[in-house]
Amino acid sequence: MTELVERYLAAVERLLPEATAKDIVAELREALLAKLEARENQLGRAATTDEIADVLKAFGPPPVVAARYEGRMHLVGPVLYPWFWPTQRTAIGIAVAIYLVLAAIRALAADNPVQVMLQRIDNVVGLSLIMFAGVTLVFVAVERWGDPVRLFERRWDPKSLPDETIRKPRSLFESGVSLFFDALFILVWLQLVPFPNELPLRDGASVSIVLSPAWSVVYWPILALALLAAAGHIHDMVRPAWNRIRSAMSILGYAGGLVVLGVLFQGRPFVDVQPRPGTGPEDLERALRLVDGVLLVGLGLAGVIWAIALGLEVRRQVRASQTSGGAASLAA
Amino acid sequence: MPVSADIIEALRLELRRGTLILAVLGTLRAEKYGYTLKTELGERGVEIDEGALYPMLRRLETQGLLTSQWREDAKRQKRFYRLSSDGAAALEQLAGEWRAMNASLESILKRTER
Repeated sequence: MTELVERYLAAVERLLPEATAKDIVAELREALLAKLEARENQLGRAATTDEIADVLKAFGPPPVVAARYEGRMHLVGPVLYPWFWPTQRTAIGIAVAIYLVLAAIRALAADNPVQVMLQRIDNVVGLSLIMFAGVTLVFVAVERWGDPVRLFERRWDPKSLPDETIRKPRSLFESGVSLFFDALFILVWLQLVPFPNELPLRDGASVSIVLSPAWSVVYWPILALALLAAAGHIHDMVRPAWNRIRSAMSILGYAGGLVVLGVLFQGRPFVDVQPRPGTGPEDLERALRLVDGVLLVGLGLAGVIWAIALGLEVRRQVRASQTSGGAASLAA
Repeated sequence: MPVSADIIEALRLELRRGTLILAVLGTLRAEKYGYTLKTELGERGVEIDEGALYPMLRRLETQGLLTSQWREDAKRQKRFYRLSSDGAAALEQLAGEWRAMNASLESILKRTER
């Protein structure tokens, strides 16, 4: 009768922690034998193999029985879990954005940029999996050796909750794409990545476009504003909800952008055109009018959008002050 | 729409989980080994399967609420459990808690039935 029971107990023992396995199995053996003895007394004869198997089946499959002795049944528990996916999304998003920017720089410097870029994009899945594994390990370590409840209870302050009625939190994708273009612009502006400045015209003629001297006046302010925009988008990835610091960065950015536009509009035309072999004076004049016109419309539109965005952001700051003022008066 | 049997079963298990500990602690005021404990609980209307009972006994012993001793009985080694002094204090406290909760629930349920 005991052969099947011993095989069952051996299967349970293999799944138990070594330190306690023998003791637990001894107790389970005693429990099973008592149960079988009671069954045999009921039958008035020795139990058959099928009847023993029925008793073991009712006791439960070895992995289930062993699992009941394991105090911790999860890798990431309910306290940490709400932070698990947002952290994964943020970490993977930032890693992929940085990787794509670096890949784009290398691709632009290569002879066949599209092919190089596509090859690099292949690695994004692998990178994401590595980040996922890394973040998971950190969570498992905190769950196992840290004290997640105390960690969050101590640091959590209801007053720090974002006011999501002021502005919808930015998505990670939106922030990631914006950061990608910020980085590309900065690299082009620093001339680390070449930007094609040849404009083809009719009959094989072409001109080179160069920025007018007005741009050199605002070279450093434009670089500073681009870095500020990139910093803002990194901030959005970590803290997507509206807050006063991020809002102040936006206000500074929009106001600075409008000042830069003011300087550029005063120094028109925005560009100079230089002839290439075979280009006549009429072509030059036409190219200048075309490019300057496109920039006039483009920068003009940017100015209008920034002015509206500046107004909205100032309004959000005012609303936030009124909300916190209201809360303060309630508290008083 | 009637509530599914699965939901009722899950709620029933949730409701019983805490009370089983109280029943086990109460029964172990006198020394018993696993099988007799299960049998006595069953006779008093508290069914518990071995898969839940033995890990629970182990946990309660680790928490210092029970003591255990391996001893030979009817030609077999058996592990006998009984309430420790800390366990007796915990049982008294939990029993008070249970009675208060029971009284509150009774009053709530009576009001709902009206």
